[in-house]
Amino acid sequence: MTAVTQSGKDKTMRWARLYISGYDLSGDARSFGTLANGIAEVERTGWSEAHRNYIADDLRMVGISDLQVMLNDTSVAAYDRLITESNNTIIDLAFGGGGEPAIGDPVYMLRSEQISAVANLDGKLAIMSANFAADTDQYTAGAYNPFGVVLQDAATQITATISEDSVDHGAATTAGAWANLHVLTTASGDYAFKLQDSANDTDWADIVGATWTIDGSAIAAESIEFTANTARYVRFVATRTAGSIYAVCTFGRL
Amino acid sequence: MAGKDKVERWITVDIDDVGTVARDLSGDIVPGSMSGLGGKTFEEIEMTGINEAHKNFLAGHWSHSFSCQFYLNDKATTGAYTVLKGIIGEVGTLNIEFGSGAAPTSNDPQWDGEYLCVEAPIVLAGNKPVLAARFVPSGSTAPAWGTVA
Repeated sequence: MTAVTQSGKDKTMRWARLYISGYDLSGDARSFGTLANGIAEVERTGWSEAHRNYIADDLRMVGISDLQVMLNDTSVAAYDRLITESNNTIIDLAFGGGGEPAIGDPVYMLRSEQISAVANLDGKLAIMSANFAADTDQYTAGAYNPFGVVLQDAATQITATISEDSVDHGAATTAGAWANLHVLTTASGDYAFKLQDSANDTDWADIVGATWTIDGSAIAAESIEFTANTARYVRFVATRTAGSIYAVCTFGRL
Repeated sequence: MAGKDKVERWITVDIDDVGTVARDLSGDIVPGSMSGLGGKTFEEIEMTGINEAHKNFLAGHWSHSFSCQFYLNDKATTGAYTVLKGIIGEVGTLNIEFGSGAAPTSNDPQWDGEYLCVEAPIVLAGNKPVLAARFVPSGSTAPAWGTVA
């Protein structure tokens, strides 16, 4: 396994995929307003200065506004998933580069509180419009950066113990990181999941704290964060005891 | 000075990455999406007296902001997504150059200064995700017009 190469300027909505707490709702997704990622500016202009100038308030704003999905009432489809509000939703919106989101592709990650889900019309089509804010119940300072990468893609069935291709982040970081895992389908799955890092893409070590409780036995999602220094290369590892699964893992650095 | 020959095709936008290395992101900018390519807008401070016939003003502080949409290019080191995800809330140099019917060269006009990257949310534009970034000046040294070295 070697580090993947990021594919570049090739992201379209044809290959965007939406995962909400273990469910792939991409077939029902239509649009979104904003995937927020910013701070507020604080003005600090002095009288003697010619121009208005600013500093950051150092308070990150994240969240999803006006996510529009079709009113599909099939079991575990969008309507079914959104009509019961959840304050423990884990959302990942991945952007594939000319194909299904693959390892290394960008992803918007959010530990969310569902704020709304309102039925509306898009022309003649009935839709649900939903807003998601950052969730207090899942708050951690370690999850403030929503721009991450895919470490395990949904298109690849896991049938054995696997160490996936790594992602090269260019440099090590020291401020911690966070990761989401969605188990999308399972056939008597029994797995242990973890992340590993490496300085040279050859010698690998487990990242302290980068393990999940969920074991692949059921559809589920779990978000973790860890404060350990994280080396330049990171990869997803699934250790099989039994069965097979489809899963998505995403990872963001601070 | 080459004159009346400045078009979008030959504008370049360089933004510092998190390591303060200038990155030319021009190839990732969505055409028609740039706003505030340089210049000053002064506050109008009204000074009209009751015996005067018309409202009149003095200029106060000036302000500026630059906003732009970028393709979600995750190419290592130089892609707009790679650069912007590391600088939200950070201050770095923003440099905008106006080429004269060709890539900017010596003596072409430029706008340059230290800017705070306020936000870069992902929005939809033409059935694709783009980064809608916004920058405002930071620091007491004002951005300024100049010429390309």
